[in-house]
Amino acid sequence: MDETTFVRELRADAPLPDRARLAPGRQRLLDSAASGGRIRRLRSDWRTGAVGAVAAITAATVSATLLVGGGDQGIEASLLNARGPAGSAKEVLLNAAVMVEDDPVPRPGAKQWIYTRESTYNASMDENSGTVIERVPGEDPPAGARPMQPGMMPDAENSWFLPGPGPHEVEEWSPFGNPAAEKGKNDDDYSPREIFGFLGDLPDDQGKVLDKVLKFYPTSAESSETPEEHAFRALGLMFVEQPIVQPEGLAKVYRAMAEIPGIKASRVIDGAGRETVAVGRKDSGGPDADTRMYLLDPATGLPVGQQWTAGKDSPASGEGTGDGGKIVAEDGVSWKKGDIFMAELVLEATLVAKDHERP
Amino acid sequence: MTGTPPDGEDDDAAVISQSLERPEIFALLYDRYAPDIHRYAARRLGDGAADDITADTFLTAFRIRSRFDTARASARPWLYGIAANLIGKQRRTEVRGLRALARTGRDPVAESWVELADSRVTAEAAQAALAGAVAALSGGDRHVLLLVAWADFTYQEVADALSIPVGTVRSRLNRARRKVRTALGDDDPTRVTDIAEATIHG
Repeated sequence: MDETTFVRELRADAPLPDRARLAPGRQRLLDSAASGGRIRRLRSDWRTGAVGAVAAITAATVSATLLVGGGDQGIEASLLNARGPAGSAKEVLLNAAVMVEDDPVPRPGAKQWIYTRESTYNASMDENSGTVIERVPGEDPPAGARPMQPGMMPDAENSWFLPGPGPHEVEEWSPFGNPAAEKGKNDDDYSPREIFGFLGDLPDDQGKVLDKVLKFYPTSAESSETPEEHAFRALGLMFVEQPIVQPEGLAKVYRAMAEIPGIKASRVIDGAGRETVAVGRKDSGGPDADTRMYLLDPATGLPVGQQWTAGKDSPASGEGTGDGGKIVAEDGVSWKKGDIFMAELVLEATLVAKDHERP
Repeated sequence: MTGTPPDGEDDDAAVISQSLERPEIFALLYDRYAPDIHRYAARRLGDGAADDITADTFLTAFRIRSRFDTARASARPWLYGIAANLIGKQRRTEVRGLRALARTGRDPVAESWVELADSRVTAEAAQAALAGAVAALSGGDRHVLLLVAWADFTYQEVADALSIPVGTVRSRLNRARRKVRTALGDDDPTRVTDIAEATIHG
């Protein structure tokens, strides 16, 4: 018999539960329905914002009253069960570390490639700036893509240009082992293999983890970032830059990040419509400073992106025209305080056998 | 008089839409799908885990119900996708149970729903080998294989449940089947095993 049939027979005598067995679960559902489950369907599809118009994106922070379903269930907790949004970032990160640390460690081959698919958004891009993506041989350009002017940059003829703020969906292929990057003396220019290896080699002594990461991503001489900002940025870079998840290293990075003062957790629906838990920290520089947030998947604890929210209105926005309209900057770029003005969301990241192969 | 639902009963998308304003209506979905999901969870993790997996699946679904794509009439793939995610978090438990069966011929998961002390059955060698192969699959491959084999999902339904392309479903299933076939000692790669595929391709 074919193997699917064989698998079908495994544990085929599992029983269907009766009503009494299912009653407690049903009651829990009704309890959460009764405690204010009424919500508006999310209508804002920010991807249809016209170029030049205000693409106001606000982080949909869900209040604690919608956090239903207790955390004491005897099963591994989802990050959604963290107690309340504010002040629990440490708990979120420690829980996330527990969630990921036992995941199987991939063993990528040096000749494999990393395929990533991301959604990128940058409000400061107008029609004349944007994102450069790789041209895949034999494929049509994505919607809205323009050819690059030859000579504008190296490899222009193998690239498309996606103008405007986006969001743009971008696919990228990079070799796991990249001898050119590995040979280079450039401090920040690591191959995926080097980053993956570094994560795997992080010390078991949790106290030593932060120092190693700070040396891996040092502060540049011109930067004025504080030690906490450096720590938040460098640790976050570890899980943003890791080509595919190194779960043991990731857990150590999470635990180190949990100790940084000033981090806050919130529930955020990201630009791709996914429910995430954001760990954010306001940059230094006073009340106008922007907030950097790392987004985690509440079901797996894995990082799924990062975004920045504005600490103040962009220069041209906020001026009224008297008829309810708003002046938009000449170059079409504007945002309000609290808007997400930049985002990189990882939709997919996986190993493939060769360049331009999709999983 | 309420008994069996009338023929024109609301499809899942309608129930979910209405539950946005009247949350208690979501319990209709529970009544429709909880028994199957409970059985599926029990089959993967054992009787003891199934209650919580089932309850948490529906609580999670309820929380995120505004994002359900109402173009889809059936919520079954969506619900199973949520359950698979929760089951995946207990991967070590699942693999331990499968390995125990592979090693000893006794299935602690199957025994969890058998009440009689003397009903322990020793599995055939082939089933034990099968369990070992399923244990060795990646989490993603195992989700695909068991949604097809235990929940009777089509490729498209698996794709919807796990939010992956149909092509990926196909390649993961082929990979899982190949490994199962090898474990069962049949390593003829040219043998047609999917009767549905054979019919489609004539």
